[in-house]
Amino acid sequence: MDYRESEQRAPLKRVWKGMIPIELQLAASDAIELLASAVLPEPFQTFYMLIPRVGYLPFISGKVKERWLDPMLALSGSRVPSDQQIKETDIWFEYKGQALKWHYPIGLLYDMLVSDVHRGDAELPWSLTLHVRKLPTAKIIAQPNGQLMRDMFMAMIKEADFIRNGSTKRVMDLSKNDQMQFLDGLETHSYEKYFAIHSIIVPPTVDSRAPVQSSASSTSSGGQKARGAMQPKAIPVRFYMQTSGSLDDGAKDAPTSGAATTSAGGNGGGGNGLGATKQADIMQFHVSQVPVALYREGSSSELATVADAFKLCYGIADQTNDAFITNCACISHGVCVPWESPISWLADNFFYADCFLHMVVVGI
Amino acid sequence: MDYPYLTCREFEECVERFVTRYRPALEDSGTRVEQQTSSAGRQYLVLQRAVYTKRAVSTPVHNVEDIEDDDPAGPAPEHAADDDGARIEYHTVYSATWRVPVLYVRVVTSSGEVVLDGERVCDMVTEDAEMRRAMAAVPFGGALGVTDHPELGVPFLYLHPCHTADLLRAVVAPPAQQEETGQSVGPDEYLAAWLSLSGAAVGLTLPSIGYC
Repeated sequence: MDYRESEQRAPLKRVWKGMIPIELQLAASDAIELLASAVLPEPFQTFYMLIPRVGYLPFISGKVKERWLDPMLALSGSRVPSDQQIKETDIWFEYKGQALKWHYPIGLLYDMLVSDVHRGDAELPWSLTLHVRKLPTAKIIAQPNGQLMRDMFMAMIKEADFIRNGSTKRVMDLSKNDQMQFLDGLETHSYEKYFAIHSIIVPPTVDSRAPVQSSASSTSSGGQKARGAMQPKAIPVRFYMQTSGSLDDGAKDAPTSGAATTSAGGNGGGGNGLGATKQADIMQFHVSQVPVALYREGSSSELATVADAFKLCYGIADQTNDAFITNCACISHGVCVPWESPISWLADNFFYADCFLHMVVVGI
Repeated sequence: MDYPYLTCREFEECVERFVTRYRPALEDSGTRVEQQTSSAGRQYLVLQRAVYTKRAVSTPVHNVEDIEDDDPAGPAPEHAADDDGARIEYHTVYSATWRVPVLYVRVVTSSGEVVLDGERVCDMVTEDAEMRRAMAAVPFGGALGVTDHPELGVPFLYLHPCHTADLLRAVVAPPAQQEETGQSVGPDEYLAAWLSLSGAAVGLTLPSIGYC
C-alpha cells in the first residue's frame, strides 16, 4: 500500500479500530441465584473489557462467559457445570435500566444512550450490568447467539448492497469462503480479513479526499468521481433521533414536519443547564432509514450533506427550514459530525461494519 | 406508478384502496383490518386473526355425548373448536430501501407470549410443506428474519423483501383491467397482489371480492 493510499485509508482505519472500555457487573438477582450471594468473590466483582465500536454484543458474550463467569462459578465451588448454569443465549446487557438491543452495533448503542457524547465528556468506562436470566423478550430479540447475529448482519449487508447498486448481486455472488472470511473478520475484529472482502462488495470510489466545504470541492470532485469511479446509486443511511416523548418542549423552535418536531431543544439533551441530563430511553429513539443520493437533487456537482439527508429522511420539504441544525447534534462513532459534511466522504470513511451510516441525532 | 416499485405516497394510496375494497370481506372471514399511523406520521396496515392450528386440537370434554368420531387420518377441523386463543398479526409497512411493502409478522399466544421463532410460526400457519422447505432454504437464515418493527421498534418476524419485486413483476392483471389502467397492476389491486404473494408464505389468504 503506497503512502497516499495509506493516508486516505487513515480515517477508515481509525473508525474500525475504535474501542469502548466497558465495566461489567453481574445483576444482583443473578448473583444471588448462582452464588447464593449478591456480593461476588473479590476478583470477580467487576470485569473490564475493551470492545469494538463496530462490533456486536453477541460476539463478546462468549468471551465474557469464558473469562469471567465460568472462572467465577468454578471458584465458587459449584458442582453444576457452568454450561448448565449459564447459556450464551441467556446473556443480555443493561445500561441504567435499558436492555441493550444486541443487534445494534456497540458504538451506536453508546452514542444513543450515554449522555454528553457530543460534548466529548461522556462516561468512560461504560458501566453496564450483565444479566444471565429473564431476557426481556418484549424489548429485545430473544435468544441472542452468534449464528442469528451473523444472519441479521448479512441481511443488513444485502440491504446496503441493494441501496448502493440496485441489486444484491455482489453479496449473493460472494463465494462461501469469502462469506466466511467476511464474517470471521467481523467477529474477530480483524481489519485485514474484513476489508479484503468489503472491497469486493463496495469497490472504493476515486475521491476520498478530506471533507472540505462541499461548495468548494464540488466541481472538481464531481469531475473526479465521474472518471472511472464506481458511483453508488445511493448511500444507506439510518438516523436515530432522540425524541422527548412529548411534543410540548421546544416545538416552536423545531422543524414543522413529523417527528422532527419532537427532537429539537426540549428533550433530555441537557440544554437547560439546570439539572442532571435525563437518561435517554432507547425505546424513544425514532429510527428512520433513507437511501441518500451522493448529489443534491437536480444537481450533478453539489454534494449532498448530512443536513440534506436529514431533511430527506424526515420529509422536510422546506429547504430553508434549518432549525434542527442549531438545535441538534449529529453523532456517529462518538464524533460530532458537522451537518455540512458531505455524505460521500462519510460513505467512504464513517460506515459501520454493516456498510450503513448510523447517525444519532440528539438535542443540544 | 413505476410498477412494481412504489413511492411512500403511492403505498399509502394503495393501503386506502385496499382497505376500502377488502375490509368487508376480510372482517366477514374473521380478520380484523386496521390502518395505523406511526408517531412519525407514516401509515401502515395491520391485519389480525386467530391462529387455527393445522393439527387437530384436543378439545376439553364436557359431556361424553359431545365426543365426535376421532379420525386421526382425517383433515384437521377448519376452525378448531377451542383454538389456542393465539392470534397472528400481519403488518404491511413501506420500505424506502426496497420501494415495496414488507410484511412483518408475529404470533401472540393466549398467555401473551410473543412467538418470534420463524420455524415455529411456519409450523403453525404455513400449510404447504414445499413452501416451508423453500423458505428454510433461503440463504442467511431462511425467508423469515427477525428484526425491530420499523415503526413500533419491537421485535417482529419479517419476510425478506429481496425477491418481492421480481415476484410482483410476474403478476399480470386480467386484460380488462390492463386496458383500463394501462398497467399490469394498478393501485386498486397492488396490495392484494402483493399480499397474495407474500401472505401465502405465512398463512395469509385473501378472500375474493366481486368486481363492480
